[in-house]
Amino acid sequence: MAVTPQFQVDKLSVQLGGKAILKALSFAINSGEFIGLLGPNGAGKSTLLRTLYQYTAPSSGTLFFNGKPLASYGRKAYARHVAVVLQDIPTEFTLPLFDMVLMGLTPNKSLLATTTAAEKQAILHAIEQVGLSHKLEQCFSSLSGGEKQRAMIARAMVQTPQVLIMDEPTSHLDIKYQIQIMELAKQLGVTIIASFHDLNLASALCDRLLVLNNGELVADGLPLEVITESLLSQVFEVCAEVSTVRHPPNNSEIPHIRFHYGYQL
Amino acid sequence: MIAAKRIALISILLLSLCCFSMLMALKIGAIDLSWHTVIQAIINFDPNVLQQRVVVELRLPRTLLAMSAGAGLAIAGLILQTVTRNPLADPYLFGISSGASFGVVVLIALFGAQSSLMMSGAAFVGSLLSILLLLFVAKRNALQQVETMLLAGVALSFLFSAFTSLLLYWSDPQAISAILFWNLGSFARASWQWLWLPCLVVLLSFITLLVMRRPLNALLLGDESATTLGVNVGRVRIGMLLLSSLLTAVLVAACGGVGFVGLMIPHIVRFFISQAKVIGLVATALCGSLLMLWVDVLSRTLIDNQELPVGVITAAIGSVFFLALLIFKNRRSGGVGVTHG
Repeated sequence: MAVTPQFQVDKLSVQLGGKAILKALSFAINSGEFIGLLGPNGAGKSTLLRTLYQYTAPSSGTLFFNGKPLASYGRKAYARHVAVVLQDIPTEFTLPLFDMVLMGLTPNKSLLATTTAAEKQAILHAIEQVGLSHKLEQCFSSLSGGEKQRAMIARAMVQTPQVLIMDEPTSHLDIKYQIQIMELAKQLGVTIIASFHDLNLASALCDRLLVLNNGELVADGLPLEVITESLLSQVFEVCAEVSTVRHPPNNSEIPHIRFHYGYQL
Repeated sequence: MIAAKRIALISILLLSLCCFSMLMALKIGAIDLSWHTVIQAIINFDPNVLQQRVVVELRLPRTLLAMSAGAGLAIAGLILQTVTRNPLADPYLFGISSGASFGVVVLIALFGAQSSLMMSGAAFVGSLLSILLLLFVAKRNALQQVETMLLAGVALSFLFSAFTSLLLYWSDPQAISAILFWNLGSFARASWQWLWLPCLVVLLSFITLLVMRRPLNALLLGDESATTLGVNVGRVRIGMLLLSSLLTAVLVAACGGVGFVGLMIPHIVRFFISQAKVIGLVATALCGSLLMLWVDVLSRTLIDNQELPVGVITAAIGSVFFLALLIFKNRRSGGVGVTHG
């Protein structure tokens, strides 16, 4: 029996300001998959994610979510299914961590509803899971980069989504937090679509990789199939050597990239 | 999370402060009344006693107008600061008060009318005009709405000021003093007949704020994050902007231009209580009321037999407050409002 994919994207194109950002992309994402989105700067990664979380409207092509057109979901109804963790959050205002995580309830609440004791408990639990219980009343803007990302993941947990979309969740973070953030996200057990700059990290974590270049989908497959020396030179324009290593938890083989330095000048 | 105990404590403290301040405002004034007279006037009003009439017919409506104006301006400030994500936004930032002055100037200079009811009406129409112009500009530029709104607001402000100055240049001194008086703000026009309007508008706006608090606060995370939380950013922003503008227009019409309250109060309250909590919104409104009530008392009593304009006092307090805030912030750099990598 064929399972309906969570996302079904057909010939998706996006034009912004007369410029083609995405060109006729087609792919499907199944429920529970961990998808890594790769590509050089300006390849269209953020735009693709934005169309998936309905911030940017497609110029042509179709997008289906759980078998129904994306546009048929209301903004609020869609937010109950899809949570998004973005990189830059404005911090001009003094908002305590608890209240920041509380905002995950927004799509689930009608205008008159108050926050129930059970929901408060869920918020505290989410904050505990990301290890920030000791900073409950601290101002969000005073947290470190890694702590902010963890707080955003706690907010996504409170949103109880089926899909978590993350735009470069590991950029600007220490390696320790890069691993921690992605493990936290993986623990949720939902479909994850995340864009990455670190190719080795993406290869180790993701079930499947999509590679964009100049708005076109140039590769779609298992990390072992996608990460090759020729792709690295054609898409990322670097010389590198790709070997394979064994990786926990199931000791599976993953690609490992060793970049060459000092040949460009 | 604030414990229920702390919420109860804050509410009781603020409410009792309000009650106490109201009684003080009724007692203190050009003639100092005894507690006995004040209590008598409230529970057993006798229109034949002059002192009791001072309480019920002059001081009570005035105090209520001051309180509702304070609460309303604080709410309007909070809303504007949130939708523009600019902690320095003020209800008068978007040219609302200069629109109001323009309306009044046109009325006085061109039609020579001076009745306070007509001036209120003209102020309201003037504010509406500037709001409509602002919305017209903001609606066309949905992507950079915040920046567009702030810049358009400043531009409109100067535009109306220019027209106002031009008309004043051609007017007689009497009109000029009327305009000046209007701009500085006063609660002296308070009367039972018209008190219901500002009170009702402030109350309705506050209820709307409570109901809309989740989508409104989501805007603090940025337009994109708010969208991913299911908020229709454009609609919420324009709607809340319209609400705070109407609120400000009604208050400008009732008591003239009273600056700094909408800027100052949400700022102070935010230091102590987060605006994401209901108690934070209640505290903002009540602190606005308290400040305005005491500013009105000061304006009536600072100088014997003369009233100081309310706007002068709020501007004086407000600017000192801001300088103090800046010095305080610089001292403990890394404190509230400063971002860490």
